[in-house]
Amino acid sequence: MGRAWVPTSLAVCIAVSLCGASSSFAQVVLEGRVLDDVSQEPLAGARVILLNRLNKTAGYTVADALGRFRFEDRDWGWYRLEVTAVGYVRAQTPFLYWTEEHDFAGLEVRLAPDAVLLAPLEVTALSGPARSPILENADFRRERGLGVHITREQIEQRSPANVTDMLLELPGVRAERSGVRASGGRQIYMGRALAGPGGGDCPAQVWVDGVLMTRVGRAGGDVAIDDVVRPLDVEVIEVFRGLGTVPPEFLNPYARCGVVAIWTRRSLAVPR
Amino acid sequence: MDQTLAGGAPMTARRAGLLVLCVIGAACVDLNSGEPTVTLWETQLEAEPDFPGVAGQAAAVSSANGTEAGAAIRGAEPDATHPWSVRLGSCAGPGDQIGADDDYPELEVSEAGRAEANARFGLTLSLEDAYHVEVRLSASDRSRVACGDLVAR
Repeated sequence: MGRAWVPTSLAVCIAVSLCGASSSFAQVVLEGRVLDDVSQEPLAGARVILLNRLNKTAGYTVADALGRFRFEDRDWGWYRLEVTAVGYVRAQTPFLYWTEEHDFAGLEVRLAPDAVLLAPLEVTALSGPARSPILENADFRRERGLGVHITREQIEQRSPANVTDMLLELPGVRAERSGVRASGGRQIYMGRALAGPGGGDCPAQVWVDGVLMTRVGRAGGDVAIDDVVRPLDVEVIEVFRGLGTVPPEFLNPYARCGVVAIWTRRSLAVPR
Repeated sequence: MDQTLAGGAPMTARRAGLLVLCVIGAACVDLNSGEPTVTLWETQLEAEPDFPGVAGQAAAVSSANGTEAGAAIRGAEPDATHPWSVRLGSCAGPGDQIGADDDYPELEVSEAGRAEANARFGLTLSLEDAYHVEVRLSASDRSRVACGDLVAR
């Protein structure tokens, strides 16, 4: 596959090339490097987010020691990148369109330094930060061993496009698309859940930051997790697949359907 | 009072009658009649002295349609299979089992020593009665492995 690199000028310097497909299978690939615009040095650890045409996160990765990153196996469509690194100006590329004819894009993203002179600081050492009581509770439940926990580290390693992608890797968990939603968001079902009195299935109860989002039988109550939370916002996910494993704090009449408790980073602020 | 009602103020008598009807009516209207009454029950399962290390929890959701119950244990012997059930009475004073043996899928312990199972039976748990959840050693040996008294909330 020939790769012609065509530089494009932005507030940050971004070189883009789109190449025609030479392979017969439908796989799209986006790869590139993140560089310091001044020194031309690679920016290891830069955060690279793949956004879809709705500006929703479709992928996430971190640049390696040589500043390289790569996304693949995405559907065709409009995408762009958002790249951030500490001490640099945030950059967004223009939208790129993958089609059968253009299934590879190579990008070179150059971030402009954003150094800020600070006033002299007086640093006072305090005792270590208090651990969030929310995380302590989640740890307690994990030690009791009756649920499955998905940690932020696991999410960063997997860099899923959607939260439900992580859930679907657990045994006994399946998803169904909600036809009434414009986003086509997926609802999560637990294989071990009891059927309803009438034999009906019911979606897992979804809690976000301690608030029950699912309202069974009420309009708008069929929450699709991916409409509510992005993977990068999540600190920990707790999954309880059957009534017997559901902790008392999440117990309600529909807990037989299973419970997914999501704690975002926003919920972890520790009051001083 | 009789004088007032009989002759002095017929309007007052009518108002009193209306008031009585309103009170009776309000007492008969169940604002929650659209939703069946549901009770939640829960317990922490504690190991019997002969089976230290086994612990777990159980919960039940009961309504007029019946009861759904679930139990989960940890620290059990891997690959073991334990029957369990909801029973009348308490761990200290156990009574009869609620539902039939067939209503309760057995707890099949994983390599990690964990197991969970869910059950449904047609009976409704009453707030007037006491219940507990019992995990037994096997179908043939009904020694109690763990137990917990269900508490309504």
